Amino acid sequence: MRTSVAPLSPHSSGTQAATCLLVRPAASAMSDAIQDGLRAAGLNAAVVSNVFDAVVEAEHAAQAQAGSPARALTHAIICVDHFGQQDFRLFPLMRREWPETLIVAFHSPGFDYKGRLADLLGADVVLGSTADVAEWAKSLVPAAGEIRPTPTAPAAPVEPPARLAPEPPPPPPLSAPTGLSPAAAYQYLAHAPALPSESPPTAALPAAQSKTRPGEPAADDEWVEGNVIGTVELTEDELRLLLGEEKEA
Amino acid sequence: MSTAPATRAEGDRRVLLVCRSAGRHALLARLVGGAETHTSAVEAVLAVLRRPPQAVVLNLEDIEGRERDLLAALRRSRPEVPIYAIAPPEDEPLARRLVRDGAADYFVLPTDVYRLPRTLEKAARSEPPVCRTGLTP
Repeated sequence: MRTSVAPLSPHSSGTQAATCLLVRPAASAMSDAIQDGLRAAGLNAAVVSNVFDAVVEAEHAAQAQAGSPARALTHAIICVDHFGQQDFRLFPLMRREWPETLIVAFHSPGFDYKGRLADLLGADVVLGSTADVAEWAKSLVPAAGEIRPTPTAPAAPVEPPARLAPEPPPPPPLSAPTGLSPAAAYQYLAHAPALPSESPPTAALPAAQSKTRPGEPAADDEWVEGNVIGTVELTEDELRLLLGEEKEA
Repeated sequence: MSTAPATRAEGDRRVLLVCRSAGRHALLARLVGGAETHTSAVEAVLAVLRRPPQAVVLNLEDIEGRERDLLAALRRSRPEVPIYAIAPPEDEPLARRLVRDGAADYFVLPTDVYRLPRTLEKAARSEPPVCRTGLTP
């Protein structure tokens, strides 16, 4: 049921169509924070408690918009904590029918999966914590009185967990650095560690050899060494002979 | 977004069916020829708002506990459109409650539902719904 369609801002007129739609259950701390944010931003909002009333209000606003673009529904702010499978159909419907409306989904901390569902189904912004709500509400303040939806703060960026180990240094390139003599290049390549991402496809190897793991004695050293250096399967002496170099004293 | 005026053409006697279950839909579609079926209740609300049908038939099993909210939204926006409920025997108390809340009638599966075509026919012959051009605020 629609709980109220009252202008949240004292400056807005009661006869004006809502420019903001809040879909919230009766009891929700985050919904209260959102509502306070809207009030502080001076946005004219309709508050409903279910998706069906949300559709009615959005359509009402769309019809009102035909007479006055200032009455367009700019924001739809939807609490998804209590949403069931059918309720989530609201997101694709709003995205399709009222593409100009910025769709903001928010959820309590225990309902992250519902936030992700809303994100998948077309929500522009997903808020999942009171900090997100506060930041988003601040971003609304300059937008107060504007007609078009303004870009709001996206969901908080995902930061790596604190316990995560620092990233390992990038592996050395498999190809030899430029500027080395052929002998030095050979030495570099012969002792370079094999890179998992650049190793030759195992399907091309015999089964027994493809199972050779780094650090283990290889079943066939010549073969494995030939793979490490890629296309060169020559011994050092053969390489020197090929390049016409004299053997070092 | 502009919408078509909510007036009903002479031949616009469509019945809007809210049903997701394939088996149930097969039964209801046989009973109500040419029904406009919606698998999503929110889509059905929008369709009713934009072009009021002759009647709305709700399969309660597919509404997932939101029957009363749906009924209230439909009644508030289009009070002239009769709403019927299809209920399995175990949901008959709920259907009865919906009638108290404003639904026109309910039909209990599996046999009572065969009254539906005759009921719709009678409703169509009775006073046509009021043509309106706006939504109830």
